[in-house]
Amino acid sequence: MAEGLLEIKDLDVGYKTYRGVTSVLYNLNLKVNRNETIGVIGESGCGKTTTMKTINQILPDNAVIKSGEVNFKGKDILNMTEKELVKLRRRNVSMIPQDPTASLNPLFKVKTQMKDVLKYSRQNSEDLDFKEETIKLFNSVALSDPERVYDSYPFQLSGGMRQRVCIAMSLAAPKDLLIADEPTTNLDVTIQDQVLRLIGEILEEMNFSAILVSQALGLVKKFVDKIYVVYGGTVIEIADTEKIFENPIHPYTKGLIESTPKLTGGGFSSGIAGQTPDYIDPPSGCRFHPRCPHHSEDCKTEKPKMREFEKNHYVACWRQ
Amino acid sequence: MAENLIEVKNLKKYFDMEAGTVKAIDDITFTIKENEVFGLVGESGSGKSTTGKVLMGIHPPTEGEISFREHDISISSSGRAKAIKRDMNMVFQDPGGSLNPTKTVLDIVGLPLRIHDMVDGKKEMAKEVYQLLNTVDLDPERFMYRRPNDLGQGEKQAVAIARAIATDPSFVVLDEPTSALDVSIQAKIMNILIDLQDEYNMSYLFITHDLGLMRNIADRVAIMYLGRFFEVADSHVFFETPLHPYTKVLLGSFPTTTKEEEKLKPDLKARGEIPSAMDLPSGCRFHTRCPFKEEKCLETEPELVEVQEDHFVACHLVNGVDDVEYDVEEVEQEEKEFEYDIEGIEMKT
Repeated sequence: MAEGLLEIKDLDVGYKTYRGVTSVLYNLNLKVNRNETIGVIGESGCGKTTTMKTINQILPDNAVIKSGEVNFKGKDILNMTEKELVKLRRRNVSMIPQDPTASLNPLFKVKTQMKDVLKYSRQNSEDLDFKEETIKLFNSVALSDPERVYDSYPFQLSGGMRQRVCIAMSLAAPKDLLIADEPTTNLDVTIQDQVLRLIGEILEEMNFSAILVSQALGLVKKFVDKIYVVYGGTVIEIADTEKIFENPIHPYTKGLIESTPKLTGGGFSSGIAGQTPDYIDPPSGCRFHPRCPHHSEDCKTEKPKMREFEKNHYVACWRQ
Repeated sequence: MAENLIEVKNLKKYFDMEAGTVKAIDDITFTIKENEVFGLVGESGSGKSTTGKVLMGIHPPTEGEISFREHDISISSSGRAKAIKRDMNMVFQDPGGSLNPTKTVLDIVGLPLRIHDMVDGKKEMAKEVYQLLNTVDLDPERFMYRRPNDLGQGEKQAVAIARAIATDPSFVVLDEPTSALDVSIQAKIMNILIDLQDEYNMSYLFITHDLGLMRNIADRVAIMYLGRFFEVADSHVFFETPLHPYTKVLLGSFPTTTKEEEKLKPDLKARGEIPSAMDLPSGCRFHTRCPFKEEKCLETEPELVEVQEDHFVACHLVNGVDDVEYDVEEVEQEEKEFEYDIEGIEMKT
């Protein structure tokens, strides 16, 4: 049995809004083993980012963690003191952000920001030659002209370069877990491909555990061992990457795969009717039932449990 | 042979900025036939949205000719005849930003009908809007009196489409109409668009960066890079036997989901980023990112030439399908030299 690194158990998280407290994450379970890369897939508003923010405890002020556990190396992150959390963020978990423009400070040069990251995340950082280390990191993320980037402000760099700087920051010190939260949504396809290939190579080289979050199934396919499909704040299907594409079971996963336009043509499927749930008053039972073409009475009353459909393939659906 | 609906000749659009001139469109020539979906694909900054806007008259062209059913429309929208304006419409990328939040769906969709005097009085307008909402799969009883804020993203875009087809146009510009939508909703909107095109015999200029979408809607596809066309071909030719290196790079970067698609993908990896349109590279503007570039690519700009029937390519190295002069092995060698130096960092786990 592979050793667990991160285990999320029955996590419920919501946000305080003027209409009341929402229930976004709803009994979310997720597990990452050592040296394993998982993909978390879901459409906008399904709770992907909330989950990732909970892991690093960087949720906004109006978030409410209602119940659940987030065990990292056997310790519950939700019970950690601020001091322990700072150590966790500096030494254990690193995050590649969704929007590199927003996560780099526009007022400081790249060199200053890199120096801060190195200073606080490396051990014995007093003796470091920050410039040398930074250039080394920039080379490792294939930034062309690292000297220029080193002495630039973020606005002087292109989107792809900014994202490479962010990746370099996340690699600044040895970490246990790398979280990439939709690292390429704001980039062009050709840049997206380059950035993803870079992340893929880093993962292969460094034996990281990693979570890749994405809206599109095709994007993460090449890099992950296992895929978690999330809908309405809960995991609805877990399977090895190949399995998900060959034999999707949950109606939502099926709909998602069919809706993705193919290069081979063949027109469009009918998509999935309806919209993502309203988290103030989410649907009862299975949260997917209002959009599900196969739903029955059971689906409306009780939340389906995760069941093993075949080896290493789990589905939460009453119909299976 | 289908007739030409729109003819564009040597179109240029430059924007003068403080820092210099941006050549958003730099000499493109193309036609859109009746009942045709003409696709325009490219990265951001390639000039594809500007092309749509110039056709609609939102920006007047700097140089060149545009004609619509043989009427000259190389002017901004305010100078065009009302009858022509009625015949052309546009759906924008951001469904939220293009709908007036203070108006009801009835007012939004009914506005073009009133402007073009196509309805007599409110009652008749409501009747027309009722039918229009039905055609875009929105239940009129539920949606007619709602405002944009009460609608989901997909519903907003459906309203924008209903507005665009209200005057029964023969030409619609669709500028990334689904890029703000989730895939499951995107499929539904795309189906509506395809059905409408069929039913009302419209022509579309479909602009997107998503090649998968393009494959499933366009009859003919043009690929644009820094204001110029690099390759124009029928959709199946474009996707099955692409010739321009940039087309191959773009296809090679597309994230696929099936094995059949994997086979269609050229094994050519993207490198570098799109240069600034203010300071264009010399010669072929793609040479900075092209793995096959030669001496002449740095010096002269290739023209768009017909290498096969209805298949146009602008590349010095492509003179015909059997005569593709580049050496794959040599490129692979170069790729290796280009590989990332990951050993540079020491990692402790």
